[in-house]
Amino acid sequence: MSESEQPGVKSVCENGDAPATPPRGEATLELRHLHRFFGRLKAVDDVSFKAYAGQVMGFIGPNGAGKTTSMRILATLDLPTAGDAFICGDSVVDYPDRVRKYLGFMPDSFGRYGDMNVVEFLDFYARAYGLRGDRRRDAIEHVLVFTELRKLAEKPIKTLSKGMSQRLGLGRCLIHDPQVMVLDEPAAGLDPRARVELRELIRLLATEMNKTVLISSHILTELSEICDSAAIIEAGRILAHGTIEEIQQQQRRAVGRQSSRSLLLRLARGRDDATTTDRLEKWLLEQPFVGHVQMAAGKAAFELEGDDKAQTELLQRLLSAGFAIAEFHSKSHSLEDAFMNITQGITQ
Amino acid sequence: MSSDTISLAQPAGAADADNRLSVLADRLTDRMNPILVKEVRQALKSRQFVVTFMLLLVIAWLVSAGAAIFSPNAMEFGSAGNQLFLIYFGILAFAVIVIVPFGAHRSMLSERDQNTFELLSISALTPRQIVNGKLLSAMVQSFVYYSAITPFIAFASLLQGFDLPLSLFLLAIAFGWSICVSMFALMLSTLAQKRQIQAANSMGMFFLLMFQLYMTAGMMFQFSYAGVPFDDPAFWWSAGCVVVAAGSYTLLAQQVAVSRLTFESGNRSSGIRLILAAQFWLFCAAVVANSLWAGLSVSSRDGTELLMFVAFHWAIAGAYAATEVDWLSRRLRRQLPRNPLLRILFVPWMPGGARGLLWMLLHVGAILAAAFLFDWDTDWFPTFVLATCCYMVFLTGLGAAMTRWLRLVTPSFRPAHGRALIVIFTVAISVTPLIVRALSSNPISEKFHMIDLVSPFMTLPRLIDGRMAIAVNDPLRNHILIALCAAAVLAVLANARAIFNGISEVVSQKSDESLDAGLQDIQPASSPS
Repeated sequence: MSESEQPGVKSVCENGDAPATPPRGEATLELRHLHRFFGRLKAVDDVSFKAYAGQVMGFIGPNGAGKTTSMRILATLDLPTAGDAFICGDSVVDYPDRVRKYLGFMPDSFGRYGDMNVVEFLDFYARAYGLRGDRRRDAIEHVLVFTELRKLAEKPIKTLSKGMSQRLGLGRCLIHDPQVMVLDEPAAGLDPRARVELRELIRLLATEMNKTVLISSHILTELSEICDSAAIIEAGRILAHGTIEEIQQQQRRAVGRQSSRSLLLRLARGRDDATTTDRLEKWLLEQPFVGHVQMAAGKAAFELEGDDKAQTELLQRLLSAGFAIAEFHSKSHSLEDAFMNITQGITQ
Repeated sequence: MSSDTISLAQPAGAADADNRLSVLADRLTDRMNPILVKEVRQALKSRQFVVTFMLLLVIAWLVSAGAAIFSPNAMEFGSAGNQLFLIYFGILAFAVIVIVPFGAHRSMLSERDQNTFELLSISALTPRQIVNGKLLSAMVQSFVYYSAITPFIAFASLLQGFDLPLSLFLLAIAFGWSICVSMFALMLSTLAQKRQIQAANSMGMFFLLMFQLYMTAGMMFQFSYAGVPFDDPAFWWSAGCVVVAAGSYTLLAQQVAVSRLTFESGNRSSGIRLILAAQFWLFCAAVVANSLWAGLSVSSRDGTELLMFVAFHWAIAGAYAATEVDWLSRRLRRQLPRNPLLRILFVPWMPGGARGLLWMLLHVGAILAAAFLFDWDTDWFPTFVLATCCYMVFLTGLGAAMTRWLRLVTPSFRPAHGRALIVIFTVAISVTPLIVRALSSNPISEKFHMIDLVSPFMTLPRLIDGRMAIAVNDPLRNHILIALCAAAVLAVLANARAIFNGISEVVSQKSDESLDAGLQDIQPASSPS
């Protein structure tokens, strides 16, 4: 057990009144062998991962995978059956009061006091987090500016759109300037513009404010744009975690194609007749380190075992063989691909 | 416009007089309970408050105008002051002991309805701050209603027949009672989490409030017509006892509400146990002080009545404490003192069913000691106390053991189920002899049958002096006592291992070392195996 986990030891995020940036390399969020059982149901089963300051981590999994349960434990709303979770080095089980100071949690559906206006709502939570006087007023002002809710400050909450409500929810999480943000499906139900705007705000939290953000979402294309890393969970178990690149490598390693890359090529129009396409397929199959060739009307998709040099040499050989290549590029593995390959669609 | 909006929207230098007032209000409320600030803001904007306030004013105004128009002679020459005050008081009482507590009750329920409670619970607010904030808000609303009715009472005070001390006394009682009822309403609102239960809870709350309004109003009018003996010391002694009792139950309700809102790994039990024990000892102190003050010793008859009250208190307290989950969270274990002696003293007060049973047994031991060590005026009283205590221990111990066993069978068996089990079991054994007698050839026989032994309500009256009493020198009395003692001992033995584990969990410092050595299971009872 590290020193920071001992009672009375200054936590990673603690620095007088204001939460500070922890030294790079120390995890600000950690789940360690976390278990949560509901009777016979293993909602969370030995989940472990870490996230660091300035990092946006995607928490991905199908419905009922254990994302929300894990996040609720992190937010001190639930208690693990075994294992523990740490925010800025403090256990969520042993020191929930301390953890709450460092943590901003946005649940998937959260309540709002409909009869309050925006500024009263933020003012209440600023007071609830112990902010007094000018600190409170400054915090409200800062949140209003950051979430661009300044113009709606006096508007009753019940009249806000879904997108604005989500911004307000994010503002509420930010009011006490926490080091770690846990956001459960923050983009659910938002229109495309609101999603893009919220995504930008979340990105800024990590890049500009150096916060750790753990975010769950079903919209994987969006997550891949803002996440540095991800943890994929299914049936309560973590299947993969790390940076997006690491997850893809893990996945390739798992299927025994550690150094392979997926490539796509397209023949030039007018020179992509069936005969040429057949000749290309035959030619590719004869090449060393090439496999999994799939052809479709002047296009080819295949796997190449090797690095950039092997890829360049293959292109040179293709051109020498007289093929009119219009496109030749490696297929980028999306987070969605990784997710689909790693998960098995198990539901509990 | 809120103070915050103004203070944020405009620089202080540019603020007009209203804005300066708002800024001042903002600064004044800076150190106040955040829930109080929020609740008052919400309450003052709410339709319920505005309607009640306006109705109170309109009805009071109509009463005043009606009295002036239709009974001018009574107003000028008669003693209308008291009657008019009582009408104003009735209007006020409805607002402060029905509307305000119900508003407090709804306020807590709506936190769950609106999904805002979780956000509150992960803020820096403690459960006590949340409960106190809601209670303070109820008090502020009561103040507002009091201030609204004050001009009318001032008007009544100018008329003949107005009794100032009595009026002040009634107003003070109504305010105090409003606090008690509001706290009780808040406590009830924390017990309901599911929507259906919340609806039933609200309905029950409304009928309870109406019932207590009827009772309270009846008592108040009784006071006003019969008069209050302010110059009688016995009246002040009784009033003091009532205030202390009401205060202690208000504190208990507050502690229960706080416990219900406390995080699972926190301490939900010690505060309640402390208050329940303090109530018992305060009660004992009041009895002793009363006998000293009156210069009288407590007779066995008085002792029997007092014992019934104490037995009821400990039966509920025991059922509550003994059915808790036998589990001390890592967080609480870390908070235990290092001193071994202090740890031993902490044992009965720490959460856990087995420790709860031990806590109850220690107090039952104190009752028995009082029964056997003091010199009573009759021989039957100590054995009667012994029999009563045996029933308490047997029922609570058996309930605790069964709860523990059922929790092993199904982890979803909760402490509330255990408490319900004890109540059902008590009712079942109480009616069993009645059923057996009803089926027998001589159902109205006055003879004591051994089957009657299972029912405390059929056995205990036989141990008191009276027509159907079993004499002190009757061997049957000894047989009954032996059987009851054996049952109580068996019930304790059924929990002996759990009690031992409960003590060692607190006393042993090995558990502290293992806490730091690595990860432990946090809730072993709910494992899926």
